[in-house]
Amino acid sequence: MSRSSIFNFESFEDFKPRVPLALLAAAAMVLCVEAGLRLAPDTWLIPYYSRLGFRGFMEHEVLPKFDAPQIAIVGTSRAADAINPKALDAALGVPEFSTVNLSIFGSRTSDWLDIYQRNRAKLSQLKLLIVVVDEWSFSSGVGNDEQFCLDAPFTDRWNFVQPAEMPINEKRDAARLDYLRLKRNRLLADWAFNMRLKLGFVPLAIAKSLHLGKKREPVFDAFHMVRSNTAETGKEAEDPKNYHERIRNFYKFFDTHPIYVRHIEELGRMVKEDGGRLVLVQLPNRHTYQDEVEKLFPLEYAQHIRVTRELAARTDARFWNYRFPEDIGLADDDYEDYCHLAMSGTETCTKWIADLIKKDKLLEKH
Amino acid sequence: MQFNSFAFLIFFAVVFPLYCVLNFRWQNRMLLAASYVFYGWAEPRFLFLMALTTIIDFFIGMKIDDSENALVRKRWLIGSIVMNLTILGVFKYYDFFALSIAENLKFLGIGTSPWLIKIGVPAGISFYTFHEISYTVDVYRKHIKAARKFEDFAVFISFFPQLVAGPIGRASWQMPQFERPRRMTWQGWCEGALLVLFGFFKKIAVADALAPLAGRVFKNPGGCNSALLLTGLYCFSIQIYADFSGYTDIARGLARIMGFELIENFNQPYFASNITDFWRRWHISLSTWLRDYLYIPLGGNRHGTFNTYRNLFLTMFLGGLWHGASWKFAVWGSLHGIFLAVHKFMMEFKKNPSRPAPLPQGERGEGPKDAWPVRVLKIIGTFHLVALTWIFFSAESISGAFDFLKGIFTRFNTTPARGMKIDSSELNAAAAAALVMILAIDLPQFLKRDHCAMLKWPVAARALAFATLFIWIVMMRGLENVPFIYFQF
Repeated sequence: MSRSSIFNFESFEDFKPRVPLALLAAAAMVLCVEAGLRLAPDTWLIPYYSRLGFRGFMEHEVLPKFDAPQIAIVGTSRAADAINPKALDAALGVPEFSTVNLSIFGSRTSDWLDIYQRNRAKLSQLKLLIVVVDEWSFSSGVGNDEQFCLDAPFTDRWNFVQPAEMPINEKRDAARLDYLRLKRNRLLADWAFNMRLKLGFVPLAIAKSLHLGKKREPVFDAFHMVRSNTAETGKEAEDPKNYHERIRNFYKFFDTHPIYVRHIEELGRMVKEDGGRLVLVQLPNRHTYQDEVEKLFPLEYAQHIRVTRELAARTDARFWNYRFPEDIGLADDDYEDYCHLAMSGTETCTKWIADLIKKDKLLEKH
Repeated sequence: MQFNSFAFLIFFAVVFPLYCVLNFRWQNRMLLAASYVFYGWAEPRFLFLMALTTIIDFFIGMKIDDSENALVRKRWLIGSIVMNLTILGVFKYYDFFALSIAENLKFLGIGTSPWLIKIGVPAGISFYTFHEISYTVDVYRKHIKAARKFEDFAVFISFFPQLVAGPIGRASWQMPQFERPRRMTWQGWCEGALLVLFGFFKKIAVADALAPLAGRVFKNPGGCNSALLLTGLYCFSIQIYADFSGYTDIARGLARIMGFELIENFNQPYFASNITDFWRRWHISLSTWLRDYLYIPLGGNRHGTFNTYRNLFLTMFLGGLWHGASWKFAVWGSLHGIFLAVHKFMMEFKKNPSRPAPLPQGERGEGPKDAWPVRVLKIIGTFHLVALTWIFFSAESISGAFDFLKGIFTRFNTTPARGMKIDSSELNAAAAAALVMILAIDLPQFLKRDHCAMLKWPVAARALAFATLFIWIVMMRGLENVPFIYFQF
């Protein structure tokens, strides 16, 4: 091209490229680390007590104990603490080890779908799958979704920024859109590099391999429960004002994101295909906490309930929704904190679930 | 647009290849358009303001250059300065001063409700206003000829790497770079890429990791005990350095890749052994701007001891206010002014001829060279002095700053309020990143006096360092996009 041309690469006149050895070596190191993390078995790398490892514990340590499960429960720590499988078996008059509580603390809809898909051979025997939803289950605004960051299909990552229903609020809407974009970018980055989620476990895994330190594992107890140990106890948890920060964290970027809703739709489809029934459950929070939620974010809570009801209708599922503890015979004292039940609450809640299953004849053939 | 955003990644991926293929005239035009897109990305409503002042200063520059009459030249210069400072004053300071006056009148029993603009401060206005003033003053002083092509001048004012948070461009240094073809070199690419890597590491791995810890403490100093307050203060001191110098590194790196050389802005300020040395190393583009366009015109040190100290204090007071329309910044600047004046006084005292002859001068000419333990002690002392002033910079109000200060010295045995405990794993990760920054980036730069000293390391060491920094950035990339602190100025 001539010198007068607009496109003449004139800035490159003195440019003498060399082989960037250090850069190439660095890239190779990064790739090796990434490849190593992807190839390392999760059972070696990720400890069971971590949020990422908990699913492994359920799959490798809990589920094998159940040969022919009829009822499975999936949900978060709230569900893990709320339903006692052994008591439920007894109340329903089914053999022991018929009910398995696969709830994982901090889990999301993708985890519940995943655990069903990965263990479908066994779980297809289910007569009933109980999904205990949280108010933030379908919201993209809660960050606890490490497993989704690791496993999500590329299309879900790429299309993460999409219209999601939320109560109209222009200021929050703009902030939420920024949040969605950031989350989409993080999902894409995590697709390329698993190291953000996995590299931190390497020292622990090495220590474990060398038998250094104490072994920590979740406990599958005599009630066939794996309780969460995530409860906030003490006086602080009882003061409603102390709930505000937690509530804001849950609702700051609240929305109903289609990707999370689709996970349950897909789960419902598979359960139906396998001849089982799906039940969605919204367990009540502690009364004082619920009052604060409805004071601060009434529209958001109402939206969550409406969306779950509509989802239940679409998936041909039942929706057991109870707003306050007294609706199912619980009192605030039955809670460890704002939503996690103490053993006394677990007993009441399990009995309530058993009564509903019996009343609706959900274990009978349909 | 933020450097640490996906949008910027796309933006640069489009701009840079275009820049590479164009001739320099079209490069300037394209950079001008790109810079306006960069600036108007989030808030296009203030684009007109920058465009307006750019057009006016372009014509004023030519008027000054074309005239031989000293009075005419001076009038045009005054016109430019008044216009620029008026716009800066109206948009950045009017609401603040109107409210301050109303509050004082209320104190005297006179109730007023002032009319306020309430449209927010245009991003980067403090920076590009200083670019413009630097230009007209340099033309007036005949350090440079006025630009004859509008795009050359306009792109100097709006050059996207430095537009919203500096370094503050000096016309005499940068205008010639826009007026003639640039040459990209392999060395420039390597150095530029290295600076960008350093910048992202400092911002994402260090500053953003420290931000929540420091933010929590500064938001509620009343709920913290002494140890927590000190931890928060150290966190903020490192955070603001990593954040601002990280931004500068990215800006300088991007510019260098494109064949530009921006003014150096940081030179390991926390290794300064006294407050004067600190200001030679911290926000150099601002401190030299204030020296050349404020301190010296005020008289500098030419009119006696009292006037010198007054000028020093005034310069730092106004430098503090430049950061933001708030008395806390004025206090921050004033404290630095006082410290500088005291240090100058001590240096003058040492030079007193009645005292014994000094030992040989140190490397920077600031005094006798100290033994290393003394120097280390001085560095630690200077750091703490500077950290003390950050309390006023970062606190939500002056009274909050005093509460913070009081708390450090009184709340030894109190229990922090609920929610104020710092998660040790969070703190450890941030502290480890800060340590890597100091040992792998700052210390080699300080010892070798070369910002790209790492490029001279053996290949294996360089590769390991690059991989480590990159992995750390990936690991620490959070879900919150923390804006650069200096974007608000």
